[in-house]
Amino acid sequence: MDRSQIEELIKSYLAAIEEEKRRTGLPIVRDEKTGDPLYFDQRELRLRYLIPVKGLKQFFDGLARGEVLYTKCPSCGTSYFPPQPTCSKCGSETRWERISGEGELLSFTRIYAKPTSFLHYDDYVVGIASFPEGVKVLAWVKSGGASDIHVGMRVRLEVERREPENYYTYILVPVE
Amino acid sequence: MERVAIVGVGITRFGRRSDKTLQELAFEAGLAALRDAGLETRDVEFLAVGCAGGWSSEPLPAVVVAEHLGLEGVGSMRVEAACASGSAAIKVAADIVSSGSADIAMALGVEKMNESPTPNVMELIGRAGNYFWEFENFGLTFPGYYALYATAYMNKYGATEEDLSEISVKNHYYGSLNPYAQFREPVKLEDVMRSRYVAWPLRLLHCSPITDGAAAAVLASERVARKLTDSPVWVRAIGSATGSANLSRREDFLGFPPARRAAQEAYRRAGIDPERPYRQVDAALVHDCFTIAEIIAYEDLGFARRGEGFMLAKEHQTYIGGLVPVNVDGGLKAKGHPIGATGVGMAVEAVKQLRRQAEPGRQADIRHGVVLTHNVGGTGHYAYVTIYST
Repeated sequence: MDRSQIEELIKSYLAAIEEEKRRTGLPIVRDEKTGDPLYFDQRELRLRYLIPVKGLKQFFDGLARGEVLYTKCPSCGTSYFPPQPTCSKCGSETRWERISGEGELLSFTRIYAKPTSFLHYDDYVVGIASFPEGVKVLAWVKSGGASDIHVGMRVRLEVERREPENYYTYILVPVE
Repeated sequence: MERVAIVGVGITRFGRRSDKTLQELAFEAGLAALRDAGLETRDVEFLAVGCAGGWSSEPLPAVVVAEHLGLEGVGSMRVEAACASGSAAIKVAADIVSSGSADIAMALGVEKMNESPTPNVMELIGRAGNYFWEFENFGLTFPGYYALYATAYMNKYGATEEDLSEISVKNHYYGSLNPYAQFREPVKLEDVMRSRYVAWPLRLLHCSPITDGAAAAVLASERVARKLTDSPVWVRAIGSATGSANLSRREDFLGFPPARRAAQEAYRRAGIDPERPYRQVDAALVHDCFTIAEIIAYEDLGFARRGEGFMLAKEHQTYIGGLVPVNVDGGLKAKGHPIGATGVGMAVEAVKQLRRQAEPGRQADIRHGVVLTHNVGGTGHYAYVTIYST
């Protein structure tokens, strides 16, 4: 089911509830499977968070330049992805470095049953790859078809503009 | 530190419980547990409510549950450890009793997942892990996280989709014998293999369902327990550990180190040989939110060597009569997985097995008087292993 079909379904469901309210004055519907009466909550809450990224500013500056950055502790040498401004092991401030090497795909899945806020995408492949810089990265894997991805394949990180939201993020791209 | 016993248990039927609210379900389980213990509401001194929440309307589950059970006067809290919230609530209640701060405490797990439509539930569970780095851009789902483990495991050890499906067949079989289970119909291997993919390589019938339900356990100090019953079930040992939020920070995708650590801790405290725990454990209730999770659990618990867990499934070694019976209540797969209620539901089943009160066909042979529960929150994010004994 694509997003427009789902929205159509939701619209007709809401219309049925409005009709029920006109008729009885109560937002009570029947459970689609059991037939039990359910009160259709009249308060809708839309959630969207404002997440601090001050400590990650260089990561996003890097994305805008087409680079994916990780952090490395200058004292103990620990590498971090997701990047973090301080070292969990020794408390030092970390340094920003670029992930430029070729990675190895460790695992992947193709998501068919999607969460609400991802319903508008085609089925997508999510994978985890390890990079010679000493970090692993979880991201979508660029895929042309159902069986072109396999564990152990070589991948590199690319920055792409995610549509339709139109913002920079990163993707694992198989190396030919 | 005082020994702690479970002196009463109660559970609701798991499933699509559109007939009851969260607090009504909790009341049903809580009252049953009190009656089982021969106690009244006024005897309870603390209430720990395992509930992940988010999909249901009441944001303070401990408060609405306490009100409905008539427990407003005592201390309470909501305990969250994702899918292991129930076992975490048991740990809180057990520690409160063993510390001497209360003689009688109730651990109650409850979840009302069907108050939200399925894609929203998929979203809320998919966000559980590291929201910003693993969900925001990549929309992982709960089956998706476990599918990453399934792909890596199958690729490394040669397990097949059919091997995973054996878990589903077993757990549906035992679920069919459990009147409290969400799914009462057995499934065949072909049914599992014909079901659609939700997150390759996991199919719909490799996944636990969206479930409403509640379970409760009354915990008491040894002194009080001895007065109440001739057959207390001891909370003999609890092991717990936490894993990295980001999957990308993990060593491999073949097992859950927190579950191994929790098991080692529980075995050490209970005096169980970690090399051959199945020789001292009569039955295990393990966290089979997905079929791959049960196979990994066999290895993390030491029932099989690394990479050989799927052989136990293939050889039907975890049915009653095999090496060690696992999930004879139907598991999360068929009994259902009401997130916060699951761990308490495992405790209820452990008590039922140890009292030899399970329904015909699903009573394990109790020789050592020991049942183990393994409850994992998120994708190896939280792990609780608990040893119950007579």
